[in-house]
Amino acid sequence: MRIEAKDITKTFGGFTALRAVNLAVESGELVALLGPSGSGKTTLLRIIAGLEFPDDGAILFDGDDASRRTVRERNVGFVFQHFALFRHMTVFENVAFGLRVKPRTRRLSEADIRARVERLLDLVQLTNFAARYPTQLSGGQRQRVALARSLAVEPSVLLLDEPFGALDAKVRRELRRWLRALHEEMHLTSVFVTHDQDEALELADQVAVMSNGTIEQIGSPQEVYDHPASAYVCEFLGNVNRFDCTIRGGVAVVCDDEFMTVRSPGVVEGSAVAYVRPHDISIYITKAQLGLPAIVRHIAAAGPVAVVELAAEGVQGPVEALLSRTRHRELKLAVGQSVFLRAQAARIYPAERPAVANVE
Amino acid sequence: MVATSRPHVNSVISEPLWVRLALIALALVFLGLFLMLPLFVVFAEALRGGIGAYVEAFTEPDALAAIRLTLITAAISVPLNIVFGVAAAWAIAKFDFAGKSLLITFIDLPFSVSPVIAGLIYVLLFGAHGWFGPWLVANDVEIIFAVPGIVIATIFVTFPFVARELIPLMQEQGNEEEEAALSLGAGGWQTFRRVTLPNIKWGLIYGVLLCNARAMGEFGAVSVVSGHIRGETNTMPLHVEILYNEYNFTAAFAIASLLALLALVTLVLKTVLEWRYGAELAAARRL
Amino acid sequence: MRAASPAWFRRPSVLPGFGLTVGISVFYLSLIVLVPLCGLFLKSTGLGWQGFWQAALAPRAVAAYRLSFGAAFFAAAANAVFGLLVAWVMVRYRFPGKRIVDALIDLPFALPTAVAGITLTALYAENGWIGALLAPLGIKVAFTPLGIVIALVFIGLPFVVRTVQPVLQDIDAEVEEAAASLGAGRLQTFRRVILPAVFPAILTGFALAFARGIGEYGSVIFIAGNLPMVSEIAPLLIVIKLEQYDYAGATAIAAFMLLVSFVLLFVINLLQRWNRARYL
Repeated sequence: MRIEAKDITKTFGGFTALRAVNLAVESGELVALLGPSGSGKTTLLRIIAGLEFPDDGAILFDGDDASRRTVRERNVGFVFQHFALFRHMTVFENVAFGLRVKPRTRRLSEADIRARVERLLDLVQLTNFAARYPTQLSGGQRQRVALARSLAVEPSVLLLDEPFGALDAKVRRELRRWLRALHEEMHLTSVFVTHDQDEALELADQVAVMSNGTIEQIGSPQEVYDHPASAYVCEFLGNVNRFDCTIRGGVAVVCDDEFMTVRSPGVVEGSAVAYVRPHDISIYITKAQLGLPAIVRHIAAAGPVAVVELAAEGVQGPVEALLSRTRHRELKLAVGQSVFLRAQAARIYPAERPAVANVE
Repeated sequence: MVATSRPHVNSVISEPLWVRLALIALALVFLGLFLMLPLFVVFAEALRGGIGAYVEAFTEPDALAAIRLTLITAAISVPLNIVFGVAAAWAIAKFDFAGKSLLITFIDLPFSVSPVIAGLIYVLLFGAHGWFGPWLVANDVEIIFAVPGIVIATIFVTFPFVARELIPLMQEQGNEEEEAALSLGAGGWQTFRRVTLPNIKWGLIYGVLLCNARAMGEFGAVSVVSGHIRGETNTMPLHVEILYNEYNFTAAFAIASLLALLALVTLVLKTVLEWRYGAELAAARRL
Repeated sequence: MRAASPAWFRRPSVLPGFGLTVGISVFYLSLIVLVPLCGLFLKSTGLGWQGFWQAALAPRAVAAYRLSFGAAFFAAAANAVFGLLVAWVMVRYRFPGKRIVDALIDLPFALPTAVAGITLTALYAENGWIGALLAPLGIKVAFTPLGIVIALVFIGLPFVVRTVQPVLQDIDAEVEEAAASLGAGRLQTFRRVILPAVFPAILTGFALAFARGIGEYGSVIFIAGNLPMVSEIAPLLIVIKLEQYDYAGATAIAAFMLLVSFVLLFVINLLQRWNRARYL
C-alpha cells in the first residue's frame, strides 16, 4: 500500500510538533523517519497510524483519504516503543488478540487462529515461548512478540516506533538484520522511527531526516549521506568535524590558514561552515600548499583504523581524523606533536543559516 | 505494606544494637497499647458474659435487622461507587482535559468533610424542614430517618475509595496497551474488558475492600440521618451505640466484635493483596 | 472519527469513552457531593452575615472548636513523633512478627469508629484495664479532653506512618554512607540528612491526621464525656443542635468547620506538591 502524508500540521498546546509535512511512502518500501527527540517523527508516525489526529492535512492510503478512519479501521500494524504487550496474557494470547476481537462474522475459527498464531510464532522464532508471559521474556523476545502481534491481523502497513530503542546494543544489531530479512521476504510497506542514524542508514530504503517538525531531506541512505541537503542533515548524520571558515577565492580559510580548495561549484565567497568527515581529513608532518596547524591530543590505534584526536587553532572542540593502519605507521605520530591538516572533501554551507547542532 | 528489608550488616549506616532494640521496643509498646490492646479488649469484653450471651446478642431480632441493613447499605453503595470510581479513573487517567485537577480535588473532598457534616447536608436537603422536605412529605417519599438516607450518606463517605486507588494505577500504566488493542481492531468495550480491566483488577479489588469496610462501619454520617429506629434504621455500628448507651455492654461488644472481625478480615485480605500484587499496587499507595 | 469536544476542552485521543466517563463522574459527583455541599453554604447565607457569625461563634461553639482543634492538634503532634518512630522501625529493622505488626497499623482505617470509641472507653474508664492503673496516680483519661486526644491518636496514627514509610524507604543507603564517610555520626546523619528528607512527609501526615481529627465523631463521643464548654467536640455540637431542630445553628457551625477543612485541604495539597517536587 502506498502511503501519503499531505501538509500535516500538528500542535500540542503552544508547541508545534509538525509544520506542513509531506511524505510519500511507496508500496513495499521501508522508510526511516530519522531525527532527534522532539523533531516530530513519532507524532508523524502516530498520525499515520490514526493514534493522533492532525490539526490540518490528510493521510492517504493508496490515494484514499484515511484521515477520518480510526486506528481500528486503518488496518495498520503498530509496534510501540516499549512494545505495549498485554502483560496479563501469554505470548500466544498476545499474538491472537487481534484475531479474537474481530466481529463474530469475520472471526476465524479457533483452529485457524491457532494455526496462524503458531505460524507467526515460528516466523519470529518464539514457538517455545508461547505459554510465557511478557515479563518472562528478554527485551529482544518482547520486541518479536510485538511484531508478531501486529502482523497477525495482516496489516497493509507496518509502523514501528523506535523499534530497537529499548534494547541493548548487541540485541539491536541482531534484530536489525533480522527485520531487514523479514522485510525483504514480506515486502510490507513499513515506516519506522529512529534517532540512530546507523540504524536508519543500514535498514531503510528511504530516509527522511526530520528536525523541528519538518522534513529536512528525503532520499536513499547513500543520497542523504553523500549529499546532505543542509548543514543540519550533515551534522545529524553524524561524525563530522565542523569548521567555521571563510571562503576566499575558492579556498576555505580557517583563522588565516588555508585549509582546503573548494571544488564544489556554487559556494559563495564569505563566511561559511565546512563539514569534513574524519576519513576525509589528511594529516601532514610538514606544511605543503594548504594546511591547518594542529596538535595531536590523543591516538587510539587499536582497531581497523587509527583514530586521531587533534586540537586545531580557531576550531571549537576536538577534530577527529581517521588514518589507515599503513598511513598511521608511516607518520609515526606522537601525542603533543604539531601537524598540518587538509580536507580532501567537505560539505560547505553559507554561515547565515544557523546549523541546528542537535546531534544525539 | 511490604517492607523490603535492607541488609543491616553495614555498621556505618546502622545503629548500635541497644539503640535498635530500644527503638523497636518503644515502637512495639506504643503499638501494643494503642492498636493491639484495644483489639484484644473488644473480644475479651464480648466474651465476658460467656458464649451463650455472646450468641444471644446476634440472634436477637433487632441485631439481625441491623446486620441486614448494614449488608443492604454496603450492597447498594459499594457497586455504585465502583461504577463511579472506574468511570472517573478512566476519564482522569486516559485523557487530558480542562478542569481535570479540579475534578481530582473534588473527588477527594468527602475525605476532608466531617462525617457529621456529611449527614447534615442531606438533612438540610431532604429533611422535613429541608429544601425538598415539603415535596417529599407531600409525595410520601421518606429519605431522612429511612434507608435511602442511610445509603446516600454511606455513598458520600465512601465516595473516593475506588477512584483514589485506580487513578494513580491507571496513570502509571499509560495508554499504550489500550492503543495497541485499538490498533489491532478491538472496540472500546472490548479494550476495556480485555486489556484495561485485567490490568487494574487488583487495584480495583483493593479499593473495593477499603470502600466496603468503611461502608459497613460508618457511624457519624449514618447516625445523623438514621433516626435510630430500632429494627428499622439501625445499622450495626448504630446498634452498638444503642446497646452501649443502655449499659448492655456485653451485647454492645458482641456486635462490635463482629465489626472488628470484619476489620481484621479486611486487613488480612489487604495484606495478602499487597504481598502478592505489591508492585501493581505500589503506584496507588504513593500518596 | 474526530473528537466531538472542542480542542480547548481536551486533547484529542483515540481512546473512546471520554464523554461517557466524564459525564458519569461529573453527574455523580454533583449529585452526591457538590450540590449537597452547596446547599449547606446556601442555607448558611440565609442566616445573614450577622446571624451566621452569631451562631458560628457562640461561646459554646467556640469552646467546641477550641477543643476539637486543640485535641486534634495535640493528637497529630503525638502521631508525628510516634508515627516517625514506627515508620523508622518498620523500614529499618527486622524483628519477629514484623509483617503482622505492619498490617495492623492500618487497623484504625478498617475498624469502625464506634467500635474504637467503646473499646477505648472501656480501656481508659476508671475501672478499665488502663484506667485502673492510672487512677491511683490521679490521672483521669476517659470523659476528659485527654480521652479525646487518646481517641484521635488512635484514629490518626496510620496517616503519619503510611506517608512517612515510603519516603523513608526511598532514601538511598548511599546518601547515608556518604554522610558517614564525611565524618558524620549516626545521630548527625539522622538529624541533618534523614530528617530533612522525611520532614515534608511528616508534615503531610500531620496535616492529614489533624484534618481527620477535627471532624472525627464516632471514636470520640464515647470517651469524651460531652460536657458543654468542657468536653464537647464541634461535630457533637452539630448533632445536638440538629436534635434540637436548631438547623441554623448546626448549619453555621458546619459551614465554619468546612471552611477550615478546605483551607487545610489546600495546605495539604501544597505540602504534597512540595513533597513530590523535592523527592520524586
